[in-house]
Amino acid sequence: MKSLLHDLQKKQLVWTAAKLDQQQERVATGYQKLDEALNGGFPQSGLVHIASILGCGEMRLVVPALLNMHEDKRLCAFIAPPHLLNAEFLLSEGIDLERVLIIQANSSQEALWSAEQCAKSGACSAVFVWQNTLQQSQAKKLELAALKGQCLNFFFTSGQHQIENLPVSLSLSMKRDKQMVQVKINKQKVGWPLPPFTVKVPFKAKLGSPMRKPMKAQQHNVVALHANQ
Amino acid sequence: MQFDTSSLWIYIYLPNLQLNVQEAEGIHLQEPNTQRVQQRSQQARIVYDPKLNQVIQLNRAAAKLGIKHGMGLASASLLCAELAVSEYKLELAKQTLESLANELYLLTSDIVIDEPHGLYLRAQNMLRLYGSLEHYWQAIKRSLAQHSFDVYYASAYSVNVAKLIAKHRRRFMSDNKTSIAQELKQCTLSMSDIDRKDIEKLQRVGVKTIDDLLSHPLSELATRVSKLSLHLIAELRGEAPAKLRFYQPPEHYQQYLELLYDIELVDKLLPVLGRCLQTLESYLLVRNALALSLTICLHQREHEPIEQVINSAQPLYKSVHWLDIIALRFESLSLSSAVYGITLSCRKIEKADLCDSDFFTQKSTHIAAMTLLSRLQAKLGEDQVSLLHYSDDYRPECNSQYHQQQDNRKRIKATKIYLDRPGFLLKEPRPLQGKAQIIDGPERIVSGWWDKQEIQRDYFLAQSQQGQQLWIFRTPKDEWFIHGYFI
Repeated sequence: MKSLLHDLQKKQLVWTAAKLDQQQERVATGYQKLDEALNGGFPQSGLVHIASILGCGEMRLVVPALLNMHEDKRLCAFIAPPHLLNAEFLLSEGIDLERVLIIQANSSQEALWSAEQCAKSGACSAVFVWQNTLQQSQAKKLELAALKGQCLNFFFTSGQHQIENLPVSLSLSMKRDKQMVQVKINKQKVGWPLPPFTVKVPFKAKLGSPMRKPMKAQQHNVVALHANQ
Repeated sequence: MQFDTSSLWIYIYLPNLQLNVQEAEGIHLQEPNTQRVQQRSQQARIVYDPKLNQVIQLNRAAAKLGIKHGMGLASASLLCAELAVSEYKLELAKQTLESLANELYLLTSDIVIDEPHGLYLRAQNMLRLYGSLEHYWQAIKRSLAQHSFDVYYASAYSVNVAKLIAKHRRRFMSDNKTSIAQELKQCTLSMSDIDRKDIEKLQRVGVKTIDDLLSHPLSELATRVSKLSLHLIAELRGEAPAKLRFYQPPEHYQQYLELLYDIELVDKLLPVLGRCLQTLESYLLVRNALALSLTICLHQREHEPIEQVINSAQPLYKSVHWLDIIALRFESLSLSSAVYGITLSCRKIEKADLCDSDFFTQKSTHIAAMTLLSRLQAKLGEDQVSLLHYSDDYRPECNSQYHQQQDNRKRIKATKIYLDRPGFLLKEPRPLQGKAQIIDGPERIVSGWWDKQEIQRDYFLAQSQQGQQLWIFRTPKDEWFIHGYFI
């Protein structure tokens, strides 16, 4: 049996998933550990499901990847965000506000419909959706829409009880552990589920108030003087 | 406007206009069911004028049963039990003639609407463009053939002669003066526009046919008939010019469609609207124009009409694209009673620009984005879809602004941006409950004393016990609030 397989392999009649050139088809996340776990980064398109509580750095984990999608100036749609999106945050993450489209929805049905429309239109490079839960059939729809529209669809849920085995490209759970963020990969399309590992999701800068900047500059000057002496 | 008596005119006579329009609509609405269509065309239909108590239009099936023009409703319904009767509407005839004139305006310049049955076309000044009368008439005929109207026509060097010949249900087209004269001689005087009393007077003096009318000198008749009739006679003789007002196409588009039967379901309205939109599409296409916004008015049987303004982010003309957006809007629409008519109007028509950008770069995504925006706005409502703008203000609640429209102000340079702002801001700061550990701070923001939204706050980055990173602040009164989440 083994020799038969060997023979077939020799004749190049067997295709193995290991041959897949994964590196080229991924979008680097900007976090080294995450890249390693995801075989080089996020897929170029598809549904990415992220389960976490609100405010543990879930956006900051995924947004740097957008900048790595080279020359993709298509829209970023934010669907049913639970609070007001802050323009300053998006600017600081390097997202042009002209690309931002915010969609409020009265019901989760409307939100999912908008997400599907945005994803499959081909006009969006990323779609962010906030909902409590993600159902099997919804996930399938959104995944197909994202693949069709060549876009990354990030689906944030807060629900603890998530159905396993959703038909998504990638499913992550996030939990904050003091300074670090604990990421667990529940499912990925090319690769295995991984046990939790920690990633550091930093703030862009410690308090950038106008009060601070000159102070830092002065300190720097002082140090320089000392060095010269 | 007055014209000399030497230019060639065509009169198009449409005696069964209302009947034709209603039949055409019925067939279109029931296209899949061919059997019923056949039944429908075989069914006897009449148009009845209640003021005159007369049948004024009837189809072939009705004529076969013995129903005649001028019959009363009672005798007509005695002849046929399953007679389909519709009331005569002058308004419908006017609108149909106008839309027909609108179509023909693309082929010929001078059109006069002769309510309620006909159109005058001035052929003389078109002959040079088309080469000959045959070619010109071919083009007109082709346009008329799109509708299943009963068309009769005649040409003559006088407006009234053409009308008189056409009214005898002739299909006569010639620019030969002798054959026109022959054709005219076969006409009866009673069909002309001359006043009935004057015709009687003329008959008393022995003028019984057109031939008699032409052979007597005008001055002889002048004392016997009214001034108006005299002018008509002079025109028929080709001695006086006609006074007419030419049709001017309107600047905006409006179409009213009366439904053959009431529609109560929104879904059933869409195919009908599709047909309206197709007319709009052909209207826009020949004008090289696009529409940004449509107004649809649904006339309800027992309630006020519903008016829906449907906007598109990108100028469109194709009926398919419009229907797509309209279908989404109509999903959330509910009718209070059955709809009997639809008005589709387009107030402003946009000129289509020449495409000046590169064919390959970015264009497709721009169109996709605009289409997406229109779809979302149609389905969710325009205030549900917004764009984000940054305004330069120290107060965090002021620097993100939601707008429905694209703003063309200058973009803010990235250097002015503070890097440690939370992704989500709460609409209203919420009192802090539970323990939170401060990571960094404070950052004091004192601002807004000039517009009565004064704030003085010390902001901190903090982390809650659940692991949420919060943006909290302390007021001078030592109260703590959550203002945002670092997502």
